[in-house]
Amino acid sequence: MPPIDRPWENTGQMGRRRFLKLMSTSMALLGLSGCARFRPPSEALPYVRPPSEVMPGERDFYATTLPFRGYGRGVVVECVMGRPVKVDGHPDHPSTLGGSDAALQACLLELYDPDRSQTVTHSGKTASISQLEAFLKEHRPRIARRRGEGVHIVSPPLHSPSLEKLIESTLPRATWHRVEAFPESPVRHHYRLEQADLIVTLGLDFLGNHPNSLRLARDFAKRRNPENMSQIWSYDCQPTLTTVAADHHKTLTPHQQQALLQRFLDDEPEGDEESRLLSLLQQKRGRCLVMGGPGVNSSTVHQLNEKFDNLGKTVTYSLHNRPTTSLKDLRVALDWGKVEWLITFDCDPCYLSGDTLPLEKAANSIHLNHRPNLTAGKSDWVVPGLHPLERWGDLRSFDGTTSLAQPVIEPLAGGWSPYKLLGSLTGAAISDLDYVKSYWTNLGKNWSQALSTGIVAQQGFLESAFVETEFAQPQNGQQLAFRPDPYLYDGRHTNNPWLLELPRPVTRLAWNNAVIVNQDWAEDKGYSNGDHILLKTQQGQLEAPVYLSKDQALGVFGVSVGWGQEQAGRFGSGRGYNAYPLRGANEAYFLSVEIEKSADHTDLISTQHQQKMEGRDLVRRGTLKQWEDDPHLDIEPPPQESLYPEEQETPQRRWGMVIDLTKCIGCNACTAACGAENNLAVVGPEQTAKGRAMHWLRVDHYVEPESAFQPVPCMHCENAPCEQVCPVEATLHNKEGLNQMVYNRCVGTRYCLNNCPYKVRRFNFLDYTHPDIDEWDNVRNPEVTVRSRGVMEKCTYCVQRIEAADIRSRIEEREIEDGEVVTACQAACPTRAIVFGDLNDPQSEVARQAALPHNYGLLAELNTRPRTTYLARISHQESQA
Amino acid sequence: MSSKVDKVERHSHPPDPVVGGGLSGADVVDDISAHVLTDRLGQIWWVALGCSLLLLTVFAISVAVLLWKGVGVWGIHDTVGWGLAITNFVWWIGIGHAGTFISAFLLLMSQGWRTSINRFAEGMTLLAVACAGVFPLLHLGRPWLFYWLMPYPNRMALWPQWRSPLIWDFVAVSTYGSVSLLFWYLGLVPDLAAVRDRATGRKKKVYALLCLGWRGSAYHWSYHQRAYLILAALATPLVVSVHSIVSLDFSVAILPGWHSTIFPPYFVAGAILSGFAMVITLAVPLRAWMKLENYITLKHLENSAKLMLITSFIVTYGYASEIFFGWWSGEVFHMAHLKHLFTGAYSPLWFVVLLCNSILPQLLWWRKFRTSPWALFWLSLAVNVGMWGERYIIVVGTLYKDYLPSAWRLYHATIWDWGLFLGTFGLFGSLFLLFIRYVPVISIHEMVELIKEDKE
Repeated sequence: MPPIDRPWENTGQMGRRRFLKLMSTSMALLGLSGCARFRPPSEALPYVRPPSEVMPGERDFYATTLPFRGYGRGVVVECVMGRPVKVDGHPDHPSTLGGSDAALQACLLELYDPDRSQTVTHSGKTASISQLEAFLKEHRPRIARRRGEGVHIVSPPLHSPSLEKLIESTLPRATWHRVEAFPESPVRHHYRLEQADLIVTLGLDFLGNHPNSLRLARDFAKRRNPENMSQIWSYDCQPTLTTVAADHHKTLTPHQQQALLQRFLDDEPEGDEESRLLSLLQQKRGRCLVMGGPGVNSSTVHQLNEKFDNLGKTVTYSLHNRPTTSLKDLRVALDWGKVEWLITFDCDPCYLSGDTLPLEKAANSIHLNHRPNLTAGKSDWVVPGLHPLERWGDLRSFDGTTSLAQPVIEPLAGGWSPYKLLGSLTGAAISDLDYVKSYWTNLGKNWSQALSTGIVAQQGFLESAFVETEFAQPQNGQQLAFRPDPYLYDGRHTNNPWLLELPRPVTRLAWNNAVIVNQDWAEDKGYSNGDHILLKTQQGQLEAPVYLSKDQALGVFGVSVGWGQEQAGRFGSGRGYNAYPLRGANEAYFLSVEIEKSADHTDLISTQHQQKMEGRDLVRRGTLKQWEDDPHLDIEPPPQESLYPEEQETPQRRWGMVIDLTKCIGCNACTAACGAENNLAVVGPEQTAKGRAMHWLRVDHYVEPESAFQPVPCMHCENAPCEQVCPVEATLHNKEGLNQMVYNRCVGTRYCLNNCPYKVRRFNFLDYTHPDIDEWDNVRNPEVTVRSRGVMEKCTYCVQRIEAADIRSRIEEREIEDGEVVTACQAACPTRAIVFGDLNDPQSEVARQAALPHNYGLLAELNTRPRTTYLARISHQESQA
Repeated sequence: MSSKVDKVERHSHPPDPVVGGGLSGADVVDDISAHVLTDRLGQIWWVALGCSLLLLTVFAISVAVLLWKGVGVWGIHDTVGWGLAITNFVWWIGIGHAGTFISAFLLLMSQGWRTSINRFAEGMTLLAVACAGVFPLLHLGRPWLFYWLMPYPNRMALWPQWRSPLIWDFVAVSTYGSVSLLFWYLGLVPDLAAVRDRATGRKKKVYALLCLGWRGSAYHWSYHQRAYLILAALATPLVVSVHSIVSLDFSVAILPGWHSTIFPPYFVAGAILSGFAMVITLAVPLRAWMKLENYITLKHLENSAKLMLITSFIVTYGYASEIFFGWWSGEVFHMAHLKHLFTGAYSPLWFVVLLCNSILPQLLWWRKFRTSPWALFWLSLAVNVGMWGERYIIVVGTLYKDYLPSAWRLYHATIWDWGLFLGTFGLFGSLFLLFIRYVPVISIHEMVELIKEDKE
């Protein structure tokens, strides 16, 4: 397929004359190739530094806004020589406060996706953008005259003021379908977790699966220190980030969750535990919070919050001015033949509806997207879209803050924005920037300021009273529980190999998905991980492998969507199973299901085969009560003997890291950020299955004795077992105590790997650099070596960032300040569970935390003297008296 | 020397002769030279060579694929960083112990019976060391940089890291290899001269070159004997040191299952056990095929069998002490290691190891068994399998489950792992067949000496 800006590539025979013409033109234009392709448009404004020429080797930071479930999330994009190489949360933006999740960290790989759609097609054949323009021009008068009647716009929910205005003003009679695989309730719940001493959640995974999860995670973490600790009680039918983080967790089906709510409302608790929770709720009136997920009636939850006087204190509401519309409505409209123009952008309604939309019934259909998908294959016209990082725009975040989006790079594959497409329907479109600017005329001179900081107005959504909504109680039989994939969401990121290869937090599965089933049930039926079952609903049936979990409710079968696409591209196509056909054009979270046995088996690809701790003291824990009695818990300082002589010189700096297991929610954003920063290779499904995934930092998930997460980067041991066994001294300490890997010197004996008790070393068993994918050259961090075949690698504590700070401080003739060096994992962590700094500086945060009594070193009894240490996981759980 | 030979024969039954058939010295020279100069081995030799070359092709392909793609074609991963390659290395190196033990150690101990088997045992040693040496080189991620393990002056002033056992290993194995080669060749020089004297035409020229101008003068003999003894004295400690140092590759590491002080003696005993097992495995068919029953007599087989019995006991003691100290430590990681040994994924192999290395060798208590060549042959095959399994258990069985359960993962060898292992049999077989065809497989001059001493 020829790209949009190279229309000659598919115009028939290449004769001699034509060849010469093209060659001479190419030679004449050769000089232009050095010109600004890799740089943001001149109107874009950097976040930190004033507009300037791009300096070789220097980094520019641009603030922009990325869409996430319809809301804006403020990000800062780091560009080197005009190409974005890293994305992080915007520290001042209320939606992220600098934190990230895995999908945010990995979004650059979609910008540089080699399979991005690049060609205008008409009825499946290559066309040109001018053909499309001519076509639209022809129909423009009729659309404009009818003020958009017969036009159906399909998009994800988008809280973009300027786009809303564009549609309202030019296409007032058009129908706008805002489709979403997991629609929000029409009443937006704003939680104030810092205010809540007690949080009870019934099936709401607010840490992992919520439009505002990054902010909620930060607010949650603020109250996860033993001095001022909130307690979380969680009831869910499946294991999630929230159930692992909770102080108390119990597995309940949606039906049981609703019953529990009702009992609490009626003051009729069953059993000691419920009585205790109820009395706690009464004690904490106005300082507690009840949250409800999709399985319970939000009205009941509201009544409970009202009962405990939480309204306006720990929870407030606002209303959507344009609630999500259902896929069923869209199907009905199509079925009735009422759709004259079907304009779909940034979404894949055909895939979301399990391929049940009769798109051919629309007279004309135009699809705009930056990635190939099912809808594109069924639309008349397909227009390559801009990646969100290439767009102008504006978005409101979950709390209502509006922020601007600016392109951080010129469009790599050409393409249109939604403004351009929608504008072209009724008139000659003006540029995207002009649209956005014309909406925000009231900013006046503050435009530059707003653009460079990214934030327009801190004004929130209008508070409202609770509004009751329709609720269908899930039935009490065998249920399918649909949920988005933790990284791929509804399937929009399915061609992103960073996300495919990142193990799912709870199941540790990568490159495939599975149906999560109750462990006892499965063992009873003779299933083990990877055995297939047949799921039958009214809409369809599906055979898929199972994954056993003791935290999955009996009778509830957890399926994750977003997988099994056929048109996703070279990485995502055909991976996993597609669960959408089980529910069709229906956004149900729960659906009755029949289960049948199947004889097949798939070996699930997982990065962690053993989730039991085997009686080892790895994730140390203590209750709040124990901590209050003795903050040392049972942690004894490890022995300090060594056969080797002590280092005589005391180094100036001792870099170290502390990871707070009380705060860690296991979201894996750190691993994704590490990958983006350190050019970690993608090894693919076969290599991942062989245990060769390249993650320098992994987040172990143990389910026994209790569910817990533990991020494991390199410990940078002072007595490093790896260093003693390397025959060529390719791994050694630098003067500041970093355990370094010298790639050039490594011959690849892998002895260091064997002798590393933490198994954090990663070996390049094959050439994992993908020299065939040119696009990926752009995403690589120029400060970090790309490792060749046959060498060992591992976490470096982001040594390139340490060196940059060192150079900066020496130029300015000062010491490196505490907090000046931020590792990539630390920057990404939404809960700020990771702290890094100089242990020799007694004022530093890391030194303070390293000195806390409940700080411990993993396997420190081996006398490795790890520099990375952990704060024991303190939970609110009271001892079983 | 004969008096000393008699001293060690304290059996109640009449001793088996060291040389049978009442051969004279000249008979021996003629007989063994004829092996080299005339094609006595017949078609079977060509068939065997063909099979070996086929396996050698497998070797070549496995190496080519490995070098082209990288060690990722094997089954190793980020938990089990060493797999079949290191297992094979330790196994081959162990086999390579018997030759020098027989030639040098028993020479110093004045064990005259060693003479008839030392030549081919030395040949076996050299080839086994060559096969062993293939693995540590090829298992490197970047094998073309193997020379960085050597201390050589370079512009970057970089030296190997002397705390690493891999350096000791590199030095120990290469020293052992070169000393074994010298010792073997030195012993071969008078024999090559004997062959030269009987050869004609082009063969004569080749053997003349190879025997380095040996004329058999008294001076030559005197220097030769001294040099041979000195080399034997040098080689003897190497028998002990090489496998001790190979064992340090493991015991210096901190992993439960590797970190053990019993390893050096236990590895040396294991090496001698497997070395003698391989001597028997080769000697029994060889003496039948080449009609060497007069040279490799039942006495040789019986003595080898006795050594197997002794070393099997030492190895069993090693197993017992590892288990005992693991239990005695009471430490969670060591206890878990023991549990995995007996109940883990590789436990069936562990029971095979116990059967082959500890239980089956008990048959050697019976003289009848010790003097039945083919019974010994089958037992020695079992011991070879058992010793290979032991190394697999040590390498893979330790690595697949160490400290952090989150990293535990099974190891599955791939077709290229097995291809390279099979391929080394091709390498060994081809070279061994060439060796028995073109080199006097029994030490002629030592046999003659032995016969003369016997008659005196």
